[in-house]
Amino acid sequence: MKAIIDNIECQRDSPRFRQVLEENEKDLDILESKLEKVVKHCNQMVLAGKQFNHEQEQLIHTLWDCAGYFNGDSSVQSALNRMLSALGEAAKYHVILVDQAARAVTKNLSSFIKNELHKVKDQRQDFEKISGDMDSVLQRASGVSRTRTQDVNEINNLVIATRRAFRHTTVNYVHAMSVAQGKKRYEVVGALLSYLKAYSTFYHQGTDLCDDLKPSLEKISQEVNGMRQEVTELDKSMENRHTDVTDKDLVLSVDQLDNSQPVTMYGYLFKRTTNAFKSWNRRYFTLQNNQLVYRKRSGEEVTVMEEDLRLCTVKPAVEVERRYCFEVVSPMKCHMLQAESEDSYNSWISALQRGIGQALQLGSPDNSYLSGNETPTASPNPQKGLGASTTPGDSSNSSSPATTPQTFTAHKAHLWQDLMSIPGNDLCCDCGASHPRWASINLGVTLCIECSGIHRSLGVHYSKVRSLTLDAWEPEMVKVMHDLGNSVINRIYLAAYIPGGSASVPVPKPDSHRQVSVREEWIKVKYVDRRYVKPLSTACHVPHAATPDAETWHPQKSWGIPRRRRRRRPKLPRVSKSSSGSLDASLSSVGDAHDQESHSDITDTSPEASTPLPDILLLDVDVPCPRRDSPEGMSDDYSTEDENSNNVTEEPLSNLSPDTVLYRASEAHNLAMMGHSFALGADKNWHNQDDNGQTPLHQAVSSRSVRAVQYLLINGTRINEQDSSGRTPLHHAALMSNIGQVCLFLKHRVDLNVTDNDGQKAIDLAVQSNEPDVVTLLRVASLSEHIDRDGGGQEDNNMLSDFLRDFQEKMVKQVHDRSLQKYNEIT
Amino acid sequence: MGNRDDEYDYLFKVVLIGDSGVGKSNLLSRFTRNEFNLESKSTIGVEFATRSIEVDGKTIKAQIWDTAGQERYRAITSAYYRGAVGALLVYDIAKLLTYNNVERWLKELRDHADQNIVIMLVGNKSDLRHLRSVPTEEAKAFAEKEGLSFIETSALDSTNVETAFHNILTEIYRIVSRQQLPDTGTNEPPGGKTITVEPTEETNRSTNNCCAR
Repeated sequence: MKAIIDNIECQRDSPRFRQVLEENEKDLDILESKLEKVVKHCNQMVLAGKQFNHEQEQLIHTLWDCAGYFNGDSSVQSALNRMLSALGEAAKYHVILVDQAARAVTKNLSSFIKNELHKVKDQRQDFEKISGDMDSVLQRASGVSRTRTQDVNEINNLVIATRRAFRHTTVNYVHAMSVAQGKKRYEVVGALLSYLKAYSTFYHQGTDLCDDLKPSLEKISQEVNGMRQEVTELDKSMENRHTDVTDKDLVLSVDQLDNSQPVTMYGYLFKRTTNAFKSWNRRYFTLQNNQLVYRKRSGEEVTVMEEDLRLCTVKPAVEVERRYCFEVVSPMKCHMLQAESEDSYNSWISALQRGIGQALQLGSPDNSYLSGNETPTASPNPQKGLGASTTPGDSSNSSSPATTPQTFTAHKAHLWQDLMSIPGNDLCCDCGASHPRWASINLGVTLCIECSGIHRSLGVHYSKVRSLTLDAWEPEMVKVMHDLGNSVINRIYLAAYIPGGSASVPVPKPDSHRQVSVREEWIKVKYVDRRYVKPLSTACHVPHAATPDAETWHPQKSWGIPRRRRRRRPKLPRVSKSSSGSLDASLSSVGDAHDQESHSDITDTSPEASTPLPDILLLDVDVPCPRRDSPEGMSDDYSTEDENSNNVTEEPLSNLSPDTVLYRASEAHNLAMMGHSFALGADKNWHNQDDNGQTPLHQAVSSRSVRAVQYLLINGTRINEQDSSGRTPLHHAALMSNIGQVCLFLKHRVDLNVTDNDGQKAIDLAVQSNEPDVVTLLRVASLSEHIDRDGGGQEDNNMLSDFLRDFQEKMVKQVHDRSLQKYNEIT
Repeated sequence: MGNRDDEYDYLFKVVLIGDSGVGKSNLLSRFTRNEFNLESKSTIGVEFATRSIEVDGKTIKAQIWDTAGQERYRAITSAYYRGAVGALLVYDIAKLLTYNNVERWLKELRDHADQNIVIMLVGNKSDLRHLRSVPTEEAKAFAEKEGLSFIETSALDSTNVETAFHNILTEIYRIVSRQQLPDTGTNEPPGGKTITVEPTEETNRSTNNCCAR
């Protein structure tokens, strides 16, 4: 590398020197303008690249969003995720590339232009200036007269000084120019080199990425082909459907069905409305589980038309002008239905007839459909093997033909398991047979089928028998069962029984193999003679949850009737994932709604879990009893208002009559204690003259418990007894706005027109307490009564039951919402 | 209960709905007992009254359900409307808000009541001329648009109360006694045979082929 011109030439300032300078100046100007163009376009490219990167980022973002849409379609989603992460990676590389372009080209070249080329220009200005100075000095020097020596010396000095400056400036200028000429080579090449290196890295990374991605992409491409194939097949098969289109009415033919299978029938029928319009609406009807239900074509709501087919008959309706009409008649209602074709008409009639026949053979329907958790197309549940006994997963030692849990619907199975979980209930209360399927609702025990038959023969004032699996169970009934159970009741009714047998107790306790006559005698002695019931003074009670079979005797110092603590519900195995979840909630929540007690019952088990308090059943004051003010007691006791009902009394138990015990136990809604007083023959309608002449039922009402009220009512307590102010239990329930209790009283056909000493009816008290639900219920009940009394015309009067059902659903919903809210608060 | 006539040819359930304070209870008492109470309290839950009228020589017994307008005094809704064949949707001509809420009440009716229910829009308190904030014409136009009948009443001076109930009961009677109701749009016309199935099928097939290639 050489300088542009050698130094001698510079010093001489020859024309050639000037020419070289000029050439180089021009050359560098050309370079500068070319480089500036490069920088300009590079800048534009970087800008465009940044814009591109931004848009790509947006695209990837929206693609992720789109992948989220396929949430649930795992194959699509995983493919999208895989590809999008790769795409994101690639985008990142691109960002780096653009960045490098800016750095390598723009920055390097700009700095070259600025630092070198512009420096040359600066030097040139200096050079031109000094060159001009030089010229003028030489001009002056040449004109000086030889005579004036002083001037000659002066100008000579000036010439020397100027020439020195000129020569140094020349050297600087040539220096800068030479360096610039040298640098331009590697600056330009270097800039492009680093740009290309960036490119190379970019593609290299890209290749690596693609190599890694290759297997995934191949797999995805196979998947795509598979998907395409599926659609093609689907498309073909859909086209083929045209060949299956018929002009016939698509009627389910009942005749093909196996007679041993339960009848299932569904399809559209026209239904004549029961209001005065008598218009016809097309609804989708379903006959299954011994119920007839219908729904609109759109919307979720399912209406139960007949919940128990056993009570129905079906007959052709010939008096109607329309074709294909038939009537479904039940004791309360009469529905006019119209089929859309003759086939449909015939099928429906025979399905209904057969369905009714089967319902009569098999038992009652269940309400699972009503709960809205099963679709009409859910598989029919064959209810064969009736009366057979088993628990899920254990049927080995059952002598009866085994059935599986699927023989019940989810709801039934759940209820059954629920009731089985109550201590002692897994064995028949009287003979110990396993898996009892019957119950005595007023006693609160479960029974095998043979013992239930004997119970029936005692008469309903001793025992009211119901099937655990076939009958419909009201929620309040289930709650009563929960507070009692075989263990509790046997400790009352067998307190004095000595297992070995003795002269005084001649009747042997039967087991499940005993003959009917042996059982019959035993059951009579147990419940009618109540031979083994101990009087209260000597009875002993232990917290049964802790030691269920303990027969130890505790000395009684004093007594008390602890408020009944809610037995914690055991967690039951889910019957089926799809349906039992909400059934579970609704089952327990209906009851809770009725009790208006603890909505905490469903979710709030924590206090009980943290402090394992034994369930206190009856009288033992040695057991710590949950006081009202304790946090545990708060969860379900709810009773800060009845301050006078201090339930631990320092009084020997033997001093109390069974009547008083029942009275106090009702006040504390302690059902087990109430059961004991029943066993001792307490007067269920006893008026406590020391306490405003109230009856146990009044006390149960003021305890706000629905189950205590229910327990008294099914044990034959008179519903319309007045206290000394003339008020019935209904008056009190209305005054306290207890909808659950009011509903219960209405179901038991309470007399609405009893007036108290001030001439007030229950409805008047409800109006005073401003409670719209109770007012509405009582007014509707009263209107309904008027209609019934007047003969009501031809209209079916379901008004009250409609309202009761609505209220029940509403309460379930409220409890449900509340527990949901609570759950949300916790989590 | 009001007067109980045991002899009647038709029993119609009619509900009174509308915002709190528009005069539903007074319309009812004016019609059934010819009473008016300026200081009546809020209805709690539901109240009933009946009265029979004659139409075409037939006795029609109206069982009128007066519901609470105030939210906190309302019980559950759907059972109110069950079996109802008529509804008087009442607003107060002097309170614009009660008129604006009419649409909400209509929605409630359409959600819960029979689709054939006869609805009459009633602008009550027509005696308050100087305070009027809902023009008659506007309400009339709205009623026409929604397919309701319309009347303005005054329970206080009895204007049109009799007419309102008489009209709605007569309208219901006409529908019910006609028996042969036009079917309610649920059954589709049977003209489905000329569906253009073929062309659709063709295009489908050709696109398939394209994709497959």
